[in-house]
Amino acid sequence: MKKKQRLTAELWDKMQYLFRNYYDRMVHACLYYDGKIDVDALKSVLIATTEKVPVLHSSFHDSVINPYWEVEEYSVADILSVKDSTAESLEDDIEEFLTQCIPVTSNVQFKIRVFHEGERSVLCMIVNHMCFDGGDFKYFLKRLSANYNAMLTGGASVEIKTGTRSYDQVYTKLEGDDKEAAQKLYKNISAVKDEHYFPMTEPRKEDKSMINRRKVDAVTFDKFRRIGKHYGVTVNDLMLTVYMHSLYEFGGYPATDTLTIPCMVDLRRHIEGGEEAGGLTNHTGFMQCSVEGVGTTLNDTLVKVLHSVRKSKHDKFMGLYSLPLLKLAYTIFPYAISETAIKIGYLNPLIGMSNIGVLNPDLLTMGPYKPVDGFMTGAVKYKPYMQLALTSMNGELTMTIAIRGNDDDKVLVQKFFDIIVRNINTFIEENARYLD
Amino acid sequence: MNMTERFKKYLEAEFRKISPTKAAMEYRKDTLVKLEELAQDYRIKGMTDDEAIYNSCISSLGDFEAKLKEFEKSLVEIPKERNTRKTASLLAVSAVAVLVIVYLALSITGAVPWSRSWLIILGAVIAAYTAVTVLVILKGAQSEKYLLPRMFLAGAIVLWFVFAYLIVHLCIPKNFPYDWMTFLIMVIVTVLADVIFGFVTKSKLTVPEALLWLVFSAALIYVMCGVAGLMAWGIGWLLPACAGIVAVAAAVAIILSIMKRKEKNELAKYAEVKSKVDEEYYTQW
Repeated sequence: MKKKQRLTAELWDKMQYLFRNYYDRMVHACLYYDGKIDVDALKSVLIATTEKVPVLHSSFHDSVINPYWEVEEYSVADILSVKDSTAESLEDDIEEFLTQCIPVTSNVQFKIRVFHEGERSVLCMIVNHMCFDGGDFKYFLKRLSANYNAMLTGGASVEIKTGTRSYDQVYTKLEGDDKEAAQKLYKNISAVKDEHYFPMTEPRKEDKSMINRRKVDAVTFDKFRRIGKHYGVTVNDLMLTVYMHSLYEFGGYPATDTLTIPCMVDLRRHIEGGEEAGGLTNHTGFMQCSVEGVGTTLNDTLVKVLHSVRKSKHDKFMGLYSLPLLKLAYTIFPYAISETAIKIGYLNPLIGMSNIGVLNPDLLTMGPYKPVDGFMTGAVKYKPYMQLALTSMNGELTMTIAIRGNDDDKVLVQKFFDIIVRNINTFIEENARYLD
Repeated sequence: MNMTERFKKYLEAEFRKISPTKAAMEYRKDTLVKLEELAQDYRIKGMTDDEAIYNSCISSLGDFEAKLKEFEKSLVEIPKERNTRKTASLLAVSAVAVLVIVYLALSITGAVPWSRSWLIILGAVIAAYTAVTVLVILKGAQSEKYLLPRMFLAGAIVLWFVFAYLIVHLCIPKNFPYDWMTFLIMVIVTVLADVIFGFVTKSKLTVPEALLWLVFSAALIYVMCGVAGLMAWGIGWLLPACAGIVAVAAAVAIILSIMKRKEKNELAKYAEVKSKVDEEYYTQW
């Protein structure tokens, strides 16, 4: 029997594997099209893409000394499936597909399902977070669209990045003393202990994975952004503000408590060549946002948030902390010991936020059809952990909270979304004078 | 002229009061960022009058001329700081050189035999380790992390006791039969030092550690006194027994006091929840 090809398990592969203790390791995306996707063309693109990226058709093998990926045989049926749905059952079908978990031992590490509902199609995709993160997921979807469109117009070659998956690409933009300093950032950034929990029910037998969604319509979101622009702040700053302000209210935290929330940072900002460089992998760090008590108004909370995020924004090493520490742990210890050591030192944040950003419909077309709606979200968190993920498309903002919970948790999350939306509207009302 | 331009104009004028160095330019840029951020804060907080925002930002700088002079002075002082480090390094090297010279001089002249003169070097090494321990403790106090300082402190005490044993064993000509007791005393002193360290730094497990130390020390003292004939074996056992009783009694008293405090807090919380009056409770569902 032919010996299977082995691939190195990179630092982030191992870290994401460790995170199996906190979430389901899946990243999710869903794109709605007002037209039918050509499944045959999509199949061809997917086969060519998967062939070029071996980690996508590999199984992960845990090992005491050093884990590794093993390249596996597969068929396109393992990756792509098609289902006819109805308007009534479409959302349930999407939820059912998106909330499944691909085992690390599977022969493929991503799955796509196309739902046909009348003349509409919905493309859903899940991928093992160990293969790549939200940043490269966006890149993957863009390439999928470009390659599909090229295929429809007779193009044969499929383009996707195939370079190194190593974590140390994040030092490529740095030079001299800065590079040396960045490679010595041993500080454990996760060590900021925050004991504020997002209120959820105790774990129950009936708990299941769920992706809770809420939209902020284009008109409201536009007003929100315009006010932010007037003040010179980003959508991320604004959403952090509204999120934290809402958490104090919903969680019943004392108004003077210090609340710390990590906000995911795409480390490709430090990579020469940005998202096109290297291969499909994880390059995500985080910055801590700490507010010492909630503001009386949302504007007051915004000032507190800015005081915290400015520190990170002025830091040329933003997001690069702890990487040398992880590298050291994985280098000096056998894997089993390093995982235990990291688990002891790593404090998974109870509450987090990930702003995945804008999904540009022009870059996600499938033939003549632009996506009319869509979202991406991170892994399904296990109680008591939770994360708010944000994506925007066609001017609308989609908030998602993916958790493993029950119907009561669903109600709680929807109530929380109500508070966030109410606070967005309050912020707009209180600053309406800047909209003229 | 927009706000940033006004800030720039102000800073350019102010920075002409000090030398145009690269460091001054960086300081000026940092100050501009701070002023812009402050202006942003004022706007978000509700200030709309640009003139008021500008004036508030500038006045937040305080006596800026004095700050600039201070800044310029600090640039000159940096080499001084470097000089201090250099001097400290030179002093350390000199001390080692002097020590080696003294060691060799005493040994070669026969003032101290070679078989004992190496104790001078050992003593110096332990003294250096103790100095490092002091620095580690000071650094630990700054960051409020005490595990490493406690380990260093225990190490220093152990080393000094070993040194004391060697001095007694090698340098006192008269046979001293109880010099091995140095190691028993070492254990008592090391744990005592750690208990004191724990109390000073308000470490959580200090009380149980202190109680264990009490019992353990009493047992060791009993053994030492018994061996040395200072206390009769038959009656001496009362010492560790009494220490044990005191420790158990203290532990029980502490546990009871914690339970009582907890119960009191719960009662107070319960009373607050049940008896709190609020008009909204009439209509709240």
